[in-house]
Amino acid sequence: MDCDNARELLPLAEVEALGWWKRQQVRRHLADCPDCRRELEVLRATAALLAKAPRAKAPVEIWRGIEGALAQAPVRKSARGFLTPRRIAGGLVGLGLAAATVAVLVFQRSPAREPHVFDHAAPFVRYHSILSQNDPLSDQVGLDLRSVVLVTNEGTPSQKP
Amino acid sequence: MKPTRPQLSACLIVALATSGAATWAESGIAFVRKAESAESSTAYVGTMRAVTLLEDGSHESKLKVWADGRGRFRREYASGPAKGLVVLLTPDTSWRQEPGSDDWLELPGRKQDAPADSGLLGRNYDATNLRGEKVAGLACRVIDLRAKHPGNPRKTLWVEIRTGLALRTDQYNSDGKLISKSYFEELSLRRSEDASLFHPPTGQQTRTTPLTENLRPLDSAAQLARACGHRPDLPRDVPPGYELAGYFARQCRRNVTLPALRYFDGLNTLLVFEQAGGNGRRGWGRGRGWQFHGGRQDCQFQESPQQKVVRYTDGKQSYLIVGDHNRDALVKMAESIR
Repeated sequence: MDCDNARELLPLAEVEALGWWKRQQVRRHLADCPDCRRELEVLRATAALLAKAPRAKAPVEIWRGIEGALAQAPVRKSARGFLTPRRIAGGLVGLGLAAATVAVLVFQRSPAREPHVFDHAAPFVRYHSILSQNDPLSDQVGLDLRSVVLVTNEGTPSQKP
Repeated sequence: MKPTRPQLSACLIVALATSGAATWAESGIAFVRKAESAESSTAYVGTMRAVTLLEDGSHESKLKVWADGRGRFRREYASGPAKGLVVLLTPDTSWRQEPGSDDWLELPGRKQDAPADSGLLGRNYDATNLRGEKVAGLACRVIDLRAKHPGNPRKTLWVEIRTGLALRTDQYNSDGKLISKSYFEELSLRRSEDASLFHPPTGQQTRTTPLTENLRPLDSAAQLARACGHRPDLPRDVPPGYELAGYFARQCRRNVTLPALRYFDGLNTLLVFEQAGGNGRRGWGRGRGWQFHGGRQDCQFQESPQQKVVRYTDGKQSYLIVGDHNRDALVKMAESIR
């Protein structure tokens, strides 16, 4: 990571809005770059100053002006003419059908278990479990259980990663 | 200047203590070696209990175990998440009958892909002989096996003094958390009369598990390069103590063959997989839990109590590392793949 990239990310890193890896990259860059460390200090000092600065109060006339502008703004056309009883009934039937379809899909696709963190990595983790079984002094029982849980989560053992 | 009597006594005490500690540590390693060989040379029948910490919490299992003293084992799970699972291990082949299935899945045996130790265990781990304790009524030595390099998992073994069999194993992950505890409740050191226990019943269907189809062990980097059509990319930064110990050709979708590598430190395995595509269009897609930024360098990390997974893409190619080791070291390893 170069200084330009790091300085772009510094404010985000300060408010913890970066992912773990980017944060590590910024951290590593800061460890090697005194200029960016100074930049960070300046950033922190500025943020501290802004936090301490007294807040200005907006004059009352500003709100009156906004109210006046809103009152003069063109009003949107009413939807009353569009919503006939027939259209409302048709819409409700359509909505009902859509909701039913979504419900069927959701219930079919959601097994009883919680989403598994290793769903996508499961085949690779299973390779690791099976190969580790042959390591000397391996935790055979623990690895058996892991394999069973991974196969259950994977759905089918013949799935290719 | 002539040393005084108290000085001589102090030197004597220090010398005795040092030599005693060395002998104690050496006997720890000797016990571990004994446990390694006793595992396949001792015949027994017993029941075990195991508590395992998985992603969704801790699970307790009870199982019955048989060993014929010639490297053949049978494990039958009577309770817990693996209830109904039967595992058969032989030097050449192993089989699993998953709970609720009639099929037996055939897997590679120990001879085929067990990494050669070649002194790695002794070089990378310290075995400390802690104390004496009884497991299933038998006297054991408690051996603490700790990695010399930080970031690795560790384990404690209860090794039976007479046979060298490990009667209890406590496994800690790389964060120092106890993730598995398995121990014998009953143990009878006798050979089972029934030889058919160590083979799937004749007539029952066996089918080969995808592992043997999809992850083919090879002997060398040259063989792997021939199978995949290119030389495997290797990490330049490997965690201390690990050595390249195995080559695998992984058959994936669209008949593409990609390399997989095994790194081993005598006790722990790290697997490095090359994945199809690095531009976000193929491979893992955009599934839950993984963010994938097309065409850019990126790295994602996931962990469970049992292992960690790092996925790294350099914009052209993606790699996946699976194993239990310190997160920073795994990320560093992934970033160094060229």
